[in-house]
Amino acid sequence: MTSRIKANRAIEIFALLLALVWTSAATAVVPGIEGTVTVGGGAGGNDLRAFQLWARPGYIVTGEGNTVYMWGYAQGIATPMNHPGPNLIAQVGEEIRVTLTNQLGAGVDTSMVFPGHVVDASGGTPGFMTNEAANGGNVTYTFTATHPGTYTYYSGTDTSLQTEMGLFGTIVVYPAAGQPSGGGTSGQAYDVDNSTFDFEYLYVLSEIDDAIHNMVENGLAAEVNMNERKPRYWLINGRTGPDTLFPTGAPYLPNQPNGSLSRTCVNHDVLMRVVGAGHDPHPFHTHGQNFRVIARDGRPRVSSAVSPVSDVGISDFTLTVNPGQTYDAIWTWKGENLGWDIYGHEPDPVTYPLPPHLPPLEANEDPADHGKPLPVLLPEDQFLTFGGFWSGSPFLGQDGTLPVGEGGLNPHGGMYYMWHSHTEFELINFDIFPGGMLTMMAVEGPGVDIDGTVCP
Amino acid sequence: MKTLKLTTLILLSTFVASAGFAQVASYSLVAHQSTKTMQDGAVVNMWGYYDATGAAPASWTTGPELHVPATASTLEVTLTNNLSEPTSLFIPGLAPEVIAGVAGEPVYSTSGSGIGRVHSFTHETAPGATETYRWHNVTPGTYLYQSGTNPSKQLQMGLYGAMYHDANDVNPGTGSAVDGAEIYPGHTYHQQVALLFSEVDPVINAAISADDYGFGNTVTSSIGRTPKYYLINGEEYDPLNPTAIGTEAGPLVLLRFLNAGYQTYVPVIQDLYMNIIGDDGNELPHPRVQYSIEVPAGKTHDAIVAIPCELADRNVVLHDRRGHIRNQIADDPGTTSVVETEEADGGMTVTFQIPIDTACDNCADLSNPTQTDVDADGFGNLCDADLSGDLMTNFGDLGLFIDAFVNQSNPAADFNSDGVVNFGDLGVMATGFGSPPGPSLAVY
Repeated sequence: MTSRIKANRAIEIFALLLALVWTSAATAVVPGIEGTVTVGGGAGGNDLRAFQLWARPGYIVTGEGNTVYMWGYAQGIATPMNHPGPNLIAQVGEEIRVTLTNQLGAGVDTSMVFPGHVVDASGGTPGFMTNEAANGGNVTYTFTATHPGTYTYYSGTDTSLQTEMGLFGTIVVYPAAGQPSGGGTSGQAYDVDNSTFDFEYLYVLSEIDDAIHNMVENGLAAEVNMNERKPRYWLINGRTGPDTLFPTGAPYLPNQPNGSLSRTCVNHDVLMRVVGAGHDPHPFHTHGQNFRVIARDGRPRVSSAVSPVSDVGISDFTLTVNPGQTYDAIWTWKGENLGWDIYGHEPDPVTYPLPPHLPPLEANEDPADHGKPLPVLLPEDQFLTFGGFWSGSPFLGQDGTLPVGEGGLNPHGGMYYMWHSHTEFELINFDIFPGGMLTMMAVEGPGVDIDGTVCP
Repeated sequence: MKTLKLTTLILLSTFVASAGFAQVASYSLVAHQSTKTMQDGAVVNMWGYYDATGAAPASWTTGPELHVPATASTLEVTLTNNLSEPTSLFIPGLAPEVIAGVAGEPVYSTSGSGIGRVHSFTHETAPGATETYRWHNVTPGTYLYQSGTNPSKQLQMGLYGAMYHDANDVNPGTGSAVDGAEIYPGHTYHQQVALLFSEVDPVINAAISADDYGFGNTVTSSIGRTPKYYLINGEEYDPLNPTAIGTEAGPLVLLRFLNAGYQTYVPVIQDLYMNIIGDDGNELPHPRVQYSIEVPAGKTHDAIVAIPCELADRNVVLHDRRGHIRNQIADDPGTTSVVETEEADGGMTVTFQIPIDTACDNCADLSNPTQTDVDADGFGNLCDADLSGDLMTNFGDLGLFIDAFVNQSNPAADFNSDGVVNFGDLGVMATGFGSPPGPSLAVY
């Protein structure tokens, strides 16, 4: 049943929750599970990393207050199922072993496939694509993570229906010494020099036609017609907007642990790991800056096999994300060429007697714009309408006065950019805006702590 | 050169060589009404092309595959129109021969409000008539040929087929067509497979076939088209009919992707990566290494897959990851309740079957007939001085080699397999120093 909440009330509730639970939102390293490592336990003497997943039904929550019956993957026999499935974190060269136990219910077989890897399956019964587990049974998949990169897994049984129901997830393989080791450390995505990053974020794009889920929930799966599918929800990391902005691990979204609110500092490199997981293409659009694609499907975009950098990736601001495909891109906001000083530096001859009477440059500030005034006169408050992310000041890291009750979603005065599917009707939840496939990237000012990285 | 595809026929082209002019590849086709019986028993109305030198096939297929030999640069197709409305032939990406007032120019119709609208991209063949279409300067690549007339109506009826032209019709290494061919200069393949994607809405096709389509008719347009059948090479998936690959003179398989449908498909192949080298008949400056490929409507792509030894005796599945893999298997049009059940694992799916003895060589550039690989890492000894296993031959490996040289304790350092670790092996290491081991077709 759908309970429709008026848009402005939704913003009020949203702002209250955000103010209460504001820490960092999506963590600055990709969320995931690391399984169990047995040193030297692999067939080739390499390390063995084992994961156990349970395919199980559950419910997710949508931004306008609906719940949808899903099939997801749980990390434990009694823990909530996750949608999408957990991100599996591994190191290059390891042997990966995934044991899947099927708890989807009577008559439903399931399996997992891992494009980009050569997989050996044991247990279960041979199915069309790989070995499948009957309800209550299990099957084990083994492969070697030969190359670093961003990968996906999904059900290889009745793939069209089972991926619609939610059975997909991701794998991140780090190169040697590539995984960030905690707050404030950088990482590397591939064995190419320009794949280093200060922050990394995962964006898994999908859709839901909840009518199909209702049919499956009520035992009518045999009557589902996938060729007449019409999605009503669009999701990033298993959440509709604006739930995408709530923290990773939010306790009120137990089956949808991964947020996608992203934060960075000026001139810091953000690694975008973007994965298509549903059935439809989406033009993923980054405001604020172009990104540079450095890899596709877990392989760097290089002009030759010995190229030390990814030298033939495109620079763009819209990424066509197709189901099954993965994309790695680097996004770096430099605040260059804006024509005005983003810190609001003004001449102060008393404090700075020497011309041009300006305070020193901030770290990573564009010298060409130092001290240049904002080229417009901001209207007074009574002539403005307000979005929740307006801090009251146009300057990075600062806020200003706001009418009572306005703002509140931008406590550090950052520059907020909406990252979203540019298919505009995908920004709704069951016809209610805002929602759907949208999230935010915030560029924070000096002194802000992002998961242990303090912006200079 | 051998080709393997699911159903289409190869035409023998009529080859015309004129002194002083480039050679011409000539074909003659007939456009006709036909039907196809789907796996659920439904009989669907289709329009298709068949080879004019033979009889009309009993059942609709995608148009005959046209091959423009490497020594030709002109394609000429004579079309006989057995439909009851005008049609034409059009190849996206190739400019037609233009003869003013005669050929290659768009044809306009006039709407009810007196506005001229393009009805055909090129000259039309009237019902019952025969016309000739030519394209000069055909460059290497894979191309769709299709109706160029009212394509939103005619294309979905099935008026499409594949055409290809290679830079070299023989394997440049051996000079023999038995050993494969070369699509673009420098891109050799041993076997090719065409994958032509399309979809069918039987309701619209029936209306078009009955001349009950358009303004004032039962089906007014193709808006709201809801396909029920998703096809590759004009066929639904048949699990009893896998496509054998890796059986030819070598492990390089060229996949020619074409989309004659009206929407995007995203084929994903398991266990393998593709080197995507061609886009709409343009050679890409750098191969794109992906296991997936976006194929929008009208697109063609060329991708080469190297079958590695470790996949011998395995099946590899390719399917549309957008999920068009469930075709209708039952329909009950006689009742008011619409229950259309579908089969799982069908539609746009291909199973590639790799034989047990697929060609593989663990030092692909060197002669190592014994394929000795002491450390069993997939790189034969003769091209594997990477003793540390970090996929690079460098000073770390030199240190290990010196240790093996002194102690004669590590047979993996006997690169030339002569029973001893000595200066002969040092020479092998020197050759590969600073490079990764291999190349090996046994390593994925």
